[in-house]
Amino acid sequence: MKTEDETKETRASEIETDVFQPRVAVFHCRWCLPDEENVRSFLPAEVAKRASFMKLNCTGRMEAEFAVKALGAGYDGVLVLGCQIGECHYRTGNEQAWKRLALLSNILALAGVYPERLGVHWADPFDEGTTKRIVNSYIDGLLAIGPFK
Amino acid sequence: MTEEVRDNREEQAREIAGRLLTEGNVDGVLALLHVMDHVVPHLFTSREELAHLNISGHYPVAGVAERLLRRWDNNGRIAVIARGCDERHLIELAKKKSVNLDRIKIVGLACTVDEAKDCHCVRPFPTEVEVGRSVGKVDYLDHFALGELIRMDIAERRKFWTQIFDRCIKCYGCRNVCPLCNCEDCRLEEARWVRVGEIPPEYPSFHLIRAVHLADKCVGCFACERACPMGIPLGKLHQLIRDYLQSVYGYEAGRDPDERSPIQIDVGIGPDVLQGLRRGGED
Ligand code: SF4
Ligand code: SF4
Repeated sequence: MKTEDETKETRASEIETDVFQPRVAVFHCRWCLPDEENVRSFLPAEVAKRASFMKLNCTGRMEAEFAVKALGAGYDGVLVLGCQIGECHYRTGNEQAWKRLALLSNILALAGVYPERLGVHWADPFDEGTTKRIVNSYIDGLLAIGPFK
Repeated sequence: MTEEVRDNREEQAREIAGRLLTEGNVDGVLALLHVMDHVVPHLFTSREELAHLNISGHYPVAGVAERLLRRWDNNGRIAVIARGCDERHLIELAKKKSVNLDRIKIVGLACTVDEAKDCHCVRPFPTEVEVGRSVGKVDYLDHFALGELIRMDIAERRKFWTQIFDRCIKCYGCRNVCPLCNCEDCRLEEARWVRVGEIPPEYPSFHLIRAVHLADKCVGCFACERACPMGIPLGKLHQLIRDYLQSVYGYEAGRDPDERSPIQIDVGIGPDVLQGLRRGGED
């Protein structure tokens, strides 16, 4: 038997964990967004705490398998941040990534994964406000569809 | 009726194979051999053997052709009795520089209506038909859950696939049978990518890693689906992915060896170069 106090305590912790905070795997390009702390600041504080950050040499390195693996490993979303089209350090890495990720998003939808779990944004390093706004609306999307597993 | 056509195709195939063997411009003819109620891929090198050549069996032979030629350091020349999908496999392997099409004489075999239906095939014939007669494509969206799947919403699809994928016993049959699923180091065996020694595999990594890796290579032969002992409709999933590439880029894998995949970065090196590098590294 639980004492009343214990029951209260369980309830309190339950209520806290009831608030869903998505776990996000963030892949960011080292040329436009080299600083992890900076990337972290685009996310709501609670989400940033639980997120993982992977710096890529270019989003062209981003394989669809990275995202699939992240979902399989328990992340609720995968966010890819890279340079704006035309600004790629390797000329077309982000365009290549874009095609691959568009294909992936289609495959996810076919396989029963909300494609909204995959976020892609080509960031302007001189316009952090926009990046932050878009990243936050991506997180809102994750909150709306709920946990993956 | 079907039986008749089949026999007819077998005779045609034997005749062509015999001619190729005597004319001496190939070292052998790769086709299926009938043994003890089974068929196995076999390199026919004499006319006598041809009595056991089989046409109705269904097994992808392109991977066998690839390994055979590689064993001969790509020096030999073989003929392959190839269905539409076998030819498309060979073309995809040629894009990866895994086979040299100059070393292969393709003897095109058209599938029968029933065979095409079995595979929900959208192209049941090779570019040049020498054996049999081409039949039309199958409207696969009429089949099973494919059409249904498209009408489902995401949550319903999730339920559909998790139930189905949970049957997987990780026998790797789907990977092993596919001539295009042939990386030397397979991610589906590595702990870094999937949980090792556990069934069913975690959703969605195991099946989607394979799906994304083959997305632009799959030629829609349905061999993976036929090989799966648990009835997982992998071929249908791949067909829908192929549809996406077709509708967005007009791209179809296996159509033309000079056509590049729209989502592939061409690094310009093939396995031959890589093998050279590896050998160099070992010395
Ligand atoms: S249908 Fe399956 S076996 Fe055939 S090419 Fe595609 S993935 Fe490979
Ligand atoms: S053939 Fe079927 S059961 Fe075997 S690993 Fe592939 S999907 Fe799983």
